[in-house]
Amino acid sequence: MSETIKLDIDHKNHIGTITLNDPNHLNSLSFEDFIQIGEYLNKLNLDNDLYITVLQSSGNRIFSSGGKFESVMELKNIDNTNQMNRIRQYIGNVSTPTIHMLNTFSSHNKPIICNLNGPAIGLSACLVLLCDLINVHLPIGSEEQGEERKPYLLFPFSSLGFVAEAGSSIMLYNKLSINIANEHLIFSLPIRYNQMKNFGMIWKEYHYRDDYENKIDKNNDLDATDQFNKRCKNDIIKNIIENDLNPEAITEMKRRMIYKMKQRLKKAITEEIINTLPLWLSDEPISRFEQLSNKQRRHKL
Amino acid sequence: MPAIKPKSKISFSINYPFFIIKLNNPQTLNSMSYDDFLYITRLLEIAENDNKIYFTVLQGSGTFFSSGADFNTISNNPSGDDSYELRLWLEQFLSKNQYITSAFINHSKILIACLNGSAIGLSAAIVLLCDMVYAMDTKSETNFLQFPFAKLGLSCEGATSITLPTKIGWNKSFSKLVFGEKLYFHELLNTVIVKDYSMGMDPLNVDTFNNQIIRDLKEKIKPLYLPACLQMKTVLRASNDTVNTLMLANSNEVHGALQFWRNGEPQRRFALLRDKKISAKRNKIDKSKL
Repeated sequence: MSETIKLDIDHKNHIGTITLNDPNHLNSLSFEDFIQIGEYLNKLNLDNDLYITVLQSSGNRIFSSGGKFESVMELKNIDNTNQMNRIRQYIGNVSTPTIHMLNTFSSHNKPIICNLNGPAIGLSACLVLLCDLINVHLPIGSEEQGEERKPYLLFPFSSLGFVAEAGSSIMLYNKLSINIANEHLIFSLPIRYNQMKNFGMIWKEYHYRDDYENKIDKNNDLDATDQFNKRCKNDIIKNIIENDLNPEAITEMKRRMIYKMKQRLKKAITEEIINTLPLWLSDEPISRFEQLSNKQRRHKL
Repeated sequence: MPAIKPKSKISFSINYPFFIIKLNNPQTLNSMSYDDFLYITRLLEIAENDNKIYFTVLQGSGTFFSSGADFNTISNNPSGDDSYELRLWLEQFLSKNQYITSAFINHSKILIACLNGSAIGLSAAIVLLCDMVYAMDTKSETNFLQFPFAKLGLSCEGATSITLPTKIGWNKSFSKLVFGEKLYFHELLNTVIVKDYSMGMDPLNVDTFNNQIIRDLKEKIKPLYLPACLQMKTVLRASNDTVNTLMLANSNEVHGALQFWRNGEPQRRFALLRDKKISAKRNKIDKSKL
């Protein structure tokens, strides 16, 4: 069985990398994937030879489409007649993995760099918000073809029938602005690349290289993102060496900067979960996920 | 709740899921007395208690959204009796101002301001308490928010001590609050103002602008589960501790400013403005006679 989440530990260059590795399913995440990401983050955090953590994806189309339909649909099979059972199932399947994963992000003592190779939706967009730096890959022709072709973040919670999750209720206020966050969360509208850039969310832009065209099979999209990830990694290594960064300073700095945010995230996750639970129990999200998987409902992109 | 009497200066209409409040007195640039603001709080209550309402929309008319306090309603007759003055301004300023601000802070429906033009003072503060703001035109230099509190002998009002720094940044807030500088719409684009309709500044277009926003909102909410929208506001407020933070600021602001009213400073300054306006009018008439 191939791994849907891959871990790479590079002691020589002091970089730990987590890769979303299910491009055939748009890198969507099951509840198990969630727990797995959390476990890997914990592992990297405890490894003192690592200074930097990278979260990246695979395939050329999308960073990640969010929660896996199949995982959500499993919730449908819960015995509806037993209310206690339903509540327990939701808390167990939806709430707890999110808390676990969010805690591993907020207690991570190394900068987390996200290599955004394409759009991130829902829970995965929340993960991008939890990262400290974002590198972005801009596709060929996107300068001419406009914002729609560039990576974006979409939080389609109000259209799926529930509320902000995984810390996004505070991270969007922090990283964008209050009114802009309200507009995009309440109306489920995509946050376009120029907006992320205006608010200083983007660290480095990588354009598709012309020489990709010659060297790689155009139909094999996987290679483009692999190349992007490699270029990002090389730049990080170069950066650490050139600037002669002190690893202890890096982790200490991260600890100081996340200190207050950590407490705020803990409060936010509680509020998110207690406010989303009644909506999940109403069955509205399940039926909307179902429509989405039957293509009766589309996210407005 | 007793039925609400209609008022010509401020109208309201229900177009589910929208509750629309319209400032409808362009002759006075939609200046507002405390009674007018209190009337709006009663409209907010109607919206609050109607569970088919999800959005409360504030609209202006004419060239201004609202020019703020109607200073004709503030008298300048110091009694010289401090215990009387204390009682008077607790009633006339502190309780009313705090109540009006808290009505907006606590409103659970999604609050939307449609800015056809400038807003000043408490009205501008209310714009900042809205969840999102759409503007008719952000390029014109005539469109701004202004907080001339220091000039009027007042302090921060309407929770601006919190909303301004969190929405436009700390240093900028000082120049806008302490020096009462105009905060032009183009400075607010992509922070407070989420969309510029770029429709120019013709007051005849205001209704087109207001109607276009309602049409756009109807389009935007089509794919949404509306109860999740309201729950979203609940979560955002809870996670960010918004209501408690603003309520505390609101209380501190009015208690801090009460002494100014007791000493009569804002009243004197409002009277001065009134006189200036009258003499300006007289000059105009005198000149026209010549």
